[in-house]
Amino acid sequence: MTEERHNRDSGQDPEITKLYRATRSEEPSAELDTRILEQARITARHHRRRWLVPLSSAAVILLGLTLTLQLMEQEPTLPDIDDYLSEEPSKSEAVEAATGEKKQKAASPVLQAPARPELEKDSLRSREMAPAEYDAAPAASGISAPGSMMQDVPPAKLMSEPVSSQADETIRPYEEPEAWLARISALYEQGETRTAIEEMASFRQHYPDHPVPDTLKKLLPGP
Amino acid sequence: MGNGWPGNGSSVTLYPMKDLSALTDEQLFKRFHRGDAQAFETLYTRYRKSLYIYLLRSSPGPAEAEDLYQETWSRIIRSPTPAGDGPFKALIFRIARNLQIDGYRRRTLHLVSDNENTTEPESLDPDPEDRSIIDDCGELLKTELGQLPEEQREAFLLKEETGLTLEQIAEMINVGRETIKSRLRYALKRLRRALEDCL
Repeated sequence: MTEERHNRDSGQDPEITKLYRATRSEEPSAELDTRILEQARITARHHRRRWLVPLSSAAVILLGLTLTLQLMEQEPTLPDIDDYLSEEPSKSEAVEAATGEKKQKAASPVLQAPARPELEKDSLRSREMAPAEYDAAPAASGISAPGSMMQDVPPAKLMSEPVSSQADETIRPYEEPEAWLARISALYEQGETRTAIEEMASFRQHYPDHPVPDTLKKLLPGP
Repeated sequence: MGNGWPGNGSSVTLYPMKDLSALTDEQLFKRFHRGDAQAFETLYTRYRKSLYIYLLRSSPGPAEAEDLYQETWSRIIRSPTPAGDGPFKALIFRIARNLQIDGYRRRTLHLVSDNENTTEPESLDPDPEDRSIIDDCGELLKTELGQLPEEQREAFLLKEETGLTLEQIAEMINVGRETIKSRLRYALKRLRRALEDCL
């Protein structure tokens, strides 16, 4: 009696339900199933693409940020030119010697602009030559060879390095004696006497026996 | 692993499925909206038969039922949001019911406009001779079900095919709980009377 009442309240009749379920034999056709599932697969593909675009955009942005941060961390810290110039000569020489080694190791592809192949070839050849040979070389290489030392600077260097740039001078790697003297001479003529003296001292340290023009001899430290 | 449906005589073989059976309807529907076609297949497997039978028993014929069945799934597939209000099964049966009502309205309008001379409506009760032909209780039940007033039939079918509670069914078709309960009680009473010899 209680069960009957419960069934009435919940709108159930177990016997009718049982009989009804026994009649449930119909099913949609296979063709209908295929059509519906095919439509679902196509739509699912669209849904996937909808997620793909923002996802790949986010990935690209993240990658870009990561690379930028890494590059910022790896950027070499160059010594401050003003600090360097204000230091005492003996100390600055020591720093220069140390940084000079680093600069040589750091191989200067970033610092040097690419030279034209034939000029680069000349420049390479000139590095292998002794100073005396170098003096004779311009005529052979087709480059005009005036008497002035300043014009003896190898072409690749002239193209890549502005003479008056102090910042360039501090990060300049080991260079050819003639070019170096030309640069010192230019500095002296521009009134950069102190820098010229320091450069001269450094030059003498690297090339103790290389002849120095009379105009620059006065920049050498006294005996 | 092929995945046909149990009891289905068809040769349909679905794509191999991941084990998605433990997921709820709503989780599967969300996965489908993220592009998982197999989640939809699992969902489809769960409701293909009950939805089809619901439509078959409440439509004028199998052709209309098939059209409505396909359109219902099509709307589910195209629905822009994965979760509406309430359970997934309420959603799918609500869509089916709404389509059915729309179809019924269209048919009615068509009949009124085309047939000026309305004929006597067909008697819902079969002749006693016809009744004697139906010796199978299941067939008798189907016939009686077809002869129930529409609202009572709907209440019965929704209760049997969806497994929703009376409250959920009432909410789905926008009537009060007592209304749906009353309709169901009348339907069961009438069926019980008709099937007295079978029960």
